[in-house]
Amino acid sequence: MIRKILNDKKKAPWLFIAPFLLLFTVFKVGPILYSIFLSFYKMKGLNGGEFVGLNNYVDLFHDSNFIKAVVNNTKYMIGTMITLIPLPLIFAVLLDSKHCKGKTIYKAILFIPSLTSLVIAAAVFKILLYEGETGIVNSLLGLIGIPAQKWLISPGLAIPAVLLIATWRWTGINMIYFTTGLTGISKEMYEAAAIDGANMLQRFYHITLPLLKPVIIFVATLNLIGGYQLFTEVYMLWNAGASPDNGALTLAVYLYKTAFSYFKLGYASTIGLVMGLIILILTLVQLKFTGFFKDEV
Amino acid sequence: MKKNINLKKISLIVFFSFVCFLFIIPFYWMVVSSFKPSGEIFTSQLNLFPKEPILANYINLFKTPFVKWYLNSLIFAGGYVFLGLFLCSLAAFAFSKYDFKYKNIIFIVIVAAQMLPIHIQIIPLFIMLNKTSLVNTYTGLVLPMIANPMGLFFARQYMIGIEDDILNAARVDGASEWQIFYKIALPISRPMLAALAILFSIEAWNNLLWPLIVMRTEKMFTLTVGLSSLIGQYRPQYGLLMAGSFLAVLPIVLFFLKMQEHFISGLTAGSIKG
Amino acid sequence: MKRKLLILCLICTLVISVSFILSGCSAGNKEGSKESASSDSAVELEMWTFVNAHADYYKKKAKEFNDLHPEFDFKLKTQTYPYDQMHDKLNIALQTGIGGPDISDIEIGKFPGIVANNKEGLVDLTSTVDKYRDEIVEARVTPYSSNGRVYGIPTHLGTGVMYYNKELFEKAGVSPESIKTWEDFIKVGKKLTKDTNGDGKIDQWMTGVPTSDFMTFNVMSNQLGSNVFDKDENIILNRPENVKVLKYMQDLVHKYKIANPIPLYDDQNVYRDLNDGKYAAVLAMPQWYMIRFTEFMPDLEGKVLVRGLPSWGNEGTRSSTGGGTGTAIMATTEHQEIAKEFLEYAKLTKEAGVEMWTELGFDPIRKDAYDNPKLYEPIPFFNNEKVMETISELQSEIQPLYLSGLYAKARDIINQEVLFNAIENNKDPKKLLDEATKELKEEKAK
Repeated sequence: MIRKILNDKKKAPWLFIAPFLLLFTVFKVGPILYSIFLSFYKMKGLNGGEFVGLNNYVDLFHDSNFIKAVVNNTKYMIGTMITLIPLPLIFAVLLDSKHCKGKTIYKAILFIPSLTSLVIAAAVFKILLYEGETGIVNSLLGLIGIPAQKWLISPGLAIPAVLLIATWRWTGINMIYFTTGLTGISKEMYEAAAIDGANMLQRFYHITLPLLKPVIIFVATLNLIGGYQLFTEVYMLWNAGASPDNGALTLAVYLYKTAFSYFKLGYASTIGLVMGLIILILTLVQLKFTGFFKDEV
Repeated sequence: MKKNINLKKISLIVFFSFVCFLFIIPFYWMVVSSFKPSGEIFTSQLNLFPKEPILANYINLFKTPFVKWYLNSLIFAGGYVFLGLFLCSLAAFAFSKYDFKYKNIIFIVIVAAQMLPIHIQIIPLFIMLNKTSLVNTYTGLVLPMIANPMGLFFARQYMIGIEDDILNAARVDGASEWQIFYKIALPISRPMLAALAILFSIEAWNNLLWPLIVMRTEKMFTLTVGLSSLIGQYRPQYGLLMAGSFLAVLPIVLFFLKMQEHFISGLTAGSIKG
Repeated sequence: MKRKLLILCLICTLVISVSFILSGCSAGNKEGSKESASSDSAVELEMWTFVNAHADYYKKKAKEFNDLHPEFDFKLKTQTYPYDQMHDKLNIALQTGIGGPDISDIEIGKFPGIVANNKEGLVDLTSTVDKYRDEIVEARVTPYSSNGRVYGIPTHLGTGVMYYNKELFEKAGVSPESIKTWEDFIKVGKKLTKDTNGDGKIDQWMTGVPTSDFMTFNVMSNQLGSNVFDKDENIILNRPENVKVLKYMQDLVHKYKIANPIPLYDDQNVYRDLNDGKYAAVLAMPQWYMIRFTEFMPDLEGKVLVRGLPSWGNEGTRSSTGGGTGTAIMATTEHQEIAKEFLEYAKLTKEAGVEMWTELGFDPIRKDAYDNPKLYEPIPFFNNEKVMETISELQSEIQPLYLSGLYAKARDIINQEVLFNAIENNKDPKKLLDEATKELKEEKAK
């Protein structure tokens, strides 16, 4: 029977997505429905709950912490778009060049941060970002005449500090995505273009970028989702995410505190759902904008 | 011309050496600190060498169930990569190369689920696992993770690039849809599979919250949970953590790179893609 | 070959998922039954802590307990998790009623939230603690109590003290003994704040004022008998006493310019700066901060003086307390009685009091433990002084710390908004505390 379906172009795709869909329904849809249910309740523990209708949602839009978190996440997300797409892309293109020697070592090193325990990374970055003039980053800034900055103390510098650690952690991974995309581009195309007199920049602009578009869309989507789900870095850099004046308060940190410190499961679910909704809308806008649904390369 | 190429080579080397230098600082610090007693770790700014290197951290590390944790992490990562890749690439193939009803809607719903933070899902998931006796088992650890929307998304993005002509040619030759998937689409997607394998392994390797919730006994801990249990609040054994993290990172990095090279070279040798 | 493998894979996934769903329907809690079936005659209790040293201590006590009470034949299995992870895991266990340990340490900041929301998840320990009411410091039981019932057993007293760098004081020619009041502290502070290398910038400060950790604020306001909540859980954060403390902390930085803002004392950069002699004093931290010196500041060996808090003149006392960990028994345990007896033995007896100091380095809550000479051995790291003598003199008038379910929220507001804006941005302390009080009251009304 299965064999028959497998030969049917109409039915086969359903069989192909069946296992994924099954696990997805059980382990994702289930818990999500449950949290939607919770978001209409004011919970006391898991047992006692009081139905409050849309109150949690109404409260959310008057919650200055929530609004602050949305702003912080947006800043961070924009920041990752500026750093975490161009940098890895340039690295990947340069590493793809046949003139590049020792690729494996470079890749290994760029890749190591993503595997380094974040506890350790946070400890090192706290030293690097030490607010005194002797701090490593501040000393480097001093060389080019910029006065010492209070990195982990000034609320305005909190997001840039997180961006720094995020760039360090994620560049290698994004580079892998781009490298993967690049292996699909044949060398002959470049050579042909080179013979036609196209210089490096022109080749990059007219061949590499368009062919990498699906991967760029993917990485941008990841940045968008990751940008709004930012949690671990903030959590580690400041004691359990307690950044001065909430300079690095993110939605996920706020949600986490609401659920696990303040024990407001219903409200936490509301934060989570609204946060998901924000990301979803932005993603759809972005995908629509980049022509994702047209099924073309 | 030759001179030009040499110049390119040298400038690339200089450029990447500099970038790598910046990227490796925290790792280097970790390695050096793993040879220091914990009192010395924070005493001065990034001191580049331990005063007197000690091996105590490594010796103490092997007094913990470090090897068992390592194995558990390997099982977690292995199971996640193997099953996850299979599920994601199979579904991605359907989403990228077929037309079926509600295709876009189903896809959007799946990707949309990824937008919701894990924290609100943990409590219901935990109740489910407990009801099915999967708490503290490898199955409980791996199964809820493998239907990964981002994996599906990435695989779809790659498979969209596969030319329909190749697939249709196979159809004309009488291949079943299943054969088209595993004989044509999968081999072409090797770089994507390698990348996904790497990403899934990193995710499994670094995941702290999920194994922490699922696993109950020390013997079932993964490396992240186990190592982090070494740092108590008041007397963090940083040296021990550094040593453990160092040993955890190194083999994995080497393994991934070898694997990626292998996959990519396999692809060019086959030269399937035009 | 490959094809078979893939088909096998597909089938496996399907089988696993289907069996998962089916087993979900039959919903038998196999894990629970397995545990009780596999255990031999010995009773095994699981205990969670977030400090390795605590785990070692309890394991040692469990062994002794077993020797004393062979009838119980019990085993203690300890499990250490990092601070946040342990409390998360515990919260999930408490909320779902499954998967928790038998006994658990709970940090003071997390305790009131748990009591307010999951009181029924914890065993009422009132009768156990009542046996020792006269022997232990009552002020330390209140944080783990609610409506007169006790849910956790305190670990230490956490007496608030000052830590002075002897070497820097000697260089400046002043003695820490001359600091009797907080006013004296400022006077002496001016002598100890200086530019040692002559580059026009101050590089040695009297002290550091934390901008994102309220422990120091807590210790100083506790001296005045004040804090965030009163006995009836009313919010009293904007009381004049608290305004006074916050103003004082602010003045150290902005008016007298003898202190530098620091994020918090439990910070690796601050450990290093203290170690390098950048600060002459640690401002009002509990006794347990001693452990940080021995652990992270090796260069200060022999140079650290532990002294009592300066007084607020005629007001308040020199006694204070901060921080803490309560040990609780989960209601889900099957061995409540053994757990109670064990905790009593490990935490409330006189011997336990002495060992709190000898094994863990904490000031005990048992008053009569202070009669034991073991507490008064000189400690080389702390100028070879009998540190406990200093500390025990300070404990006579310790004021209780009252908490409420809003404590976690209050702590976050103070840590992230109040302290930062007062100390870093020099904003009006009264106004900041008024705003924070208002925010907390609104939260309470919800």
